[in-house]
Formats: sequence, C-alpha cells, structure tokens
Amino acid sequence: MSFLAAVVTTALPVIAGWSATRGWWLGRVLVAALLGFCAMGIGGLLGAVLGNDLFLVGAGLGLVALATLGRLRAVNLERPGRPGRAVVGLLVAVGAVLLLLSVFRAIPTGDAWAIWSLKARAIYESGGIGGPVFTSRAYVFSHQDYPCLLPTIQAIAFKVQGTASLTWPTQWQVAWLWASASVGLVLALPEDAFAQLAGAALLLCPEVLNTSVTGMADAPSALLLLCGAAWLLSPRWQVKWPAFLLLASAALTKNEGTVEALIVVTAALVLRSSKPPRHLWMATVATLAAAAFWAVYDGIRGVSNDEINAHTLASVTFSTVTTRTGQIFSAMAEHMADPRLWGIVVPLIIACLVWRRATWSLTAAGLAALAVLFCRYLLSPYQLAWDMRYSIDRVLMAPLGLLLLGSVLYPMGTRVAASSDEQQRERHPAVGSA
Amino acid sequence: MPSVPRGQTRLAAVAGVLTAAIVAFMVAPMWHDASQARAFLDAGQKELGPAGDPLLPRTVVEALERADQGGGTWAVVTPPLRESSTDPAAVGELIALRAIRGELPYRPSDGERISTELYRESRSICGDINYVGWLAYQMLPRALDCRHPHYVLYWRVRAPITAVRIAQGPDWTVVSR
Repeated sequence: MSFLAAVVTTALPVIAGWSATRGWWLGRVLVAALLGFCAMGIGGLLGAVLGNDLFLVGAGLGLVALATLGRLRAVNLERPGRPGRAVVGLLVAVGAVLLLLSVFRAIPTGDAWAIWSLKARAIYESGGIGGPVFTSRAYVFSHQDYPCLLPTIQAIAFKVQGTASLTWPTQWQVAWLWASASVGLVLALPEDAFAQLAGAALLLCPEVLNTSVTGMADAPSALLLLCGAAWLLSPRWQVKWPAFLLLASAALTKNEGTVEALIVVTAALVLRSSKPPRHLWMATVATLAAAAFWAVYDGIRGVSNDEINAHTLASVTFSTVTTRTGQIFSAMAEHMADPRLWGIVVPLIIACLVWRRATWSLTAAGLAALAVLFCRYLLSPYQLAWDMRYSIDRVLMAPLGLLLLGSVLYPMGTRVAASSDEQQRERHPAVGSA
Repeated sequence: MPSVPRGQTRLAAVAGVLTAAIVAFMVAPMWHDASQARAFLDAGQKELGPAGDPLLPRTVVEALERADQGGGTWAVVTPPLRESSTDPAAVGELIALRAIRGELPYRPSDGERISTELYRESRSICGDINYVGWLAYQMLPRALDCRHPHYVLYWRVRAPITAVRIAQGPDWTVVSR
C-alpha cells in the first residue's frame, strides 16, 4: 500500500495539472505535477482545518478545481533550446536518482520528525488539525503556528497506505516536488546558456539537494516561492495564474515562506515606475489571503510564534543587538562561502549582479528576505550559536535564490529595471493577463 | 576551417567550468543520501530517526505504549543527547534530581537549553528535545504532557525510588504517577 500512496499522491496531481498545460510533453508532466501538488496541498489544508478526515475530500476538490479551471486558461510550455534541454535532462536525471533513493529512506532529521512528520501523523490520526499536537503547550517544540501544507500532503500518503509506520512515500513526495519545481524554474529562465547554468547551479548546489529530501519544509517552501516569483515576473510565462497558486502555496508551507512571498509581491508592486498590471494585484491578493487565513486560524487555536513575540521583543536590549550583529554576519558569511553549502551560488550572484542587469524587484526582495532573517536571529530566544548552527544553512535558500533569479530572469542585454513589465508587454502583448 | 569568435570561446569555457563545478559539488550530497539510504536499509528502519541508529529501542517504546493504553498522558525524562555519550550517569543523575525537585529549567548545554527554553512554562520534566520529538511521533495518538503525565519513561536516568514501576529494562524504567 505504501507504493500506492507514493504513486497516488504524485500521479493524481500530474493528471489534474495535465489539462492546465499545453506544449512540450516533459515540461507538461513536471509543471502539471508542480501545480497539482499546490492544488492538492491547498485543498487538503482547507479540509484539514475542518477536521473529520475532510483533508482527503479537500485535496480531491483542489485537484478537480485545477483540472477544471486550468483548462480555461492553460499554460503553453515551449520546447526549450539545446542549453535548456541539457539542463532539464540533468535535473530529471538527478530527480530520478533522488526518487530511487527515497524508496529506501526514512525521515532522517530531528526537525523533520519533531515538526513536520509529527503534524502529518497527527492529521492522519485525528482526521484534521486541532488535536493536542496543534494546541497543547506540551507540543510547543513543534512550532504550532507554522502552516501545515506539507504535513497535510504527507498525511494523505499515510491515509492511502493506512499506516504512519512507513515514511518513504513522504520522501518520494518531496523528491518529486524537487524535480518538478526545478524544471518549472528552469523553464522560466531565458534561453541563454549562462542563465540556464546559473539556475542549475542553484538547484543542484549541495545544500538544496541535501535539504530537499530531509522531510523539512524549508526546501519545498523555497522552491515554491522561487517558482512563483519567476512565473510572476518572467517574460517567458504569459499566463500568470500559476504564480498565484505557487506563491499562496509557499505562504502556506512555512512561516519564512509566508514572509518571503509577501516580500516578493510587495517589491514587485512597489518597485515600479508605472501603474502595476492586474496580475501583480492578483498575486498580492492571493498571497495576502493565504497569509491571513493561516494567521486567523492560529489566532483561533490560540497559538503564537515561539520565537518572535511580545516576550522576545521585550527582551532585546542594545547590548543584544551589538553582540549578536557580528555573530550573525559572520555565520551567514561563513555559510555563504562554504562550497559544501552555498559556495557556488554566492559567487554566481555577485558575477550576475556585476555583468547582468538585475530585475530590481527580485534583488530587493532577496535583500529584504536576508534582512528579515537577520532580525529573526537577533530576536531568537535561544542561544544564538546553537540556533544558527541548526538552521542558517537551509533558511538561506529562498533569499539567495531570489538574488540569483533577480539577475538571470531576463535575457542578457535586456534593459531591465522598474519598467520591465512595460517592455515585456511591448514584446508579448498577452503578458499581464492572469 | 571556420574561425570561432573569441567571445563565444570564452563563454563556452565559462560554461564548461561552471558545469564541471556543479557536477563535482553535486556528487557529495548524492553520495550522502545514498549512504543514508543504505544505513536505513541495513538497519531495517522504516519510520524515522538518525540513519541506522533509532534513538530508543522498540521494546522501550512498546513498554510505554502498553502502559499508556487508556487515553492517559506520558512524558520522557532523558539525559541531554549530546552529553549522554560523555558521561551519561552523572548527567542523568543531575537531571533526575532536578526534575524531582522541580528545579527545571536548567542550562548545562545547548541541546538541553533548547528543550528547557521550549518548556519554560515551568515544572516540565521532559528531557532532550530530540528524544521528546521522536517519541511524540511514535506515541501518537497518545498525548504528551510534560507537566502532569500519567506515565513517565526514564531513559538512562534513575527513576525516583518512590515511583510505581510498571516496566523496566537495563537502562530504562516506565513509572506511573
């Protein structure tokens, strides 16, 4: 039954997403999988909030909605050129290896089992969100305020297989998500070898590969965010509704994803010299709706963030700021320079910022996301060295990804700045329609 | 033979170096994942835990499950994970004493600090967060309660002499409160 769980939770999204896509078959399979993952996750999460095993019904309705509404304005995926096909081929090959390995892997890391898998099993056992795991102070270590899109999808696999004692289907799900989101992201990049390789460098860098198959939500959240941001602003995508789905999903996957998705849409709206097009407003509404939904639901359950709250804010002093600032900068720099973590990506970002024109809204969003991370560590109630040692490597994924995307999303030599959308509309009149 | 523009040659060289770097650094995490998969496979682990090394033996988890069959609550008292390898007896003794006296939170180490910070509401008896999180998954739907549990697992920590022992092994005891 566990094989059925893995197949059902990855094949059904492809089937539902298939009607929302057109064009190149390989791109269709993987982009359909990505959109289906989001629709299944959001629908399932809404059902999980209602309880009574309605997360299964919600997931089904999400997939039906995608298959029905996606058909009305399907995404056309052009077959990429030779560099694009080579990079997609590499990503598919790596994805296949990750999928194969996932069959033999249990959930390997502490944060994964104490936060995400715990909630998945609680949803599976109690039929929804609302039991002691989500409300009792005893489970506060599991960050009860975090959104539960990933646990809901894991719970669907548990339900299909009828037990939570086998966790490889959840590893399969995240490996499949890595493959589909990676290809989705690369297909949004321009047809030049450097941009494609830069995208591959981000997606194949050691930290992304390691974190993507741990069962933690950092990589899924960052991948959904980066795909959503790329889809929203890339001149290659002329249909924009998938960006709304992706950004809302990122916002419902992890707290950092919520903040970063809001940063992306705000930067895209604000850093322009002209009136924002309709699709930017719609992306903002979708992201805000997702963030507000979860914030209200947290309020109803009476849980708050255990790291940044009135208590931790009150405990910050001038001396905390001065002593921690150096520590945070030095830890961030150390991780960014380490080739086993982000050491390939950071020099690429610098090179791109020097030699290519940036999409300033994404670059600003990346910097703002880094600033938010900095503040999060400044306010951390835990011993700073401990806190950073166990989290800084993986939470850098989204900010660094946004910085890299900011400078490779447009073809080399394009005059891109605040007015990029206008140029884009001149070249592709359909851009801007949702 | 047609000449290749110098710009294109440079671009190809940069692309080649970048591709080589990506592939070279990609191998390490893939190897790590493969080794982890093999360790899980060798140990027959199918749920969750450090690869090839479950945090607690299955017999211990089953003993706690058997004790807590009637909808009661449970807790686990442990030495801090990172220090248990150095001097488990001494650290465990210290924690047990403090747990009995209700002196927690305490802060002898990073690993312990996180668990005490998280349970700082007072009088929590739970131990290292790694054990608590791992066992919380295994024990569902039985509820964790670190303040007033019905059943407590003492793992590598001496249980209070007055406690009612339900089950015990060489380095663990399940007691009723």
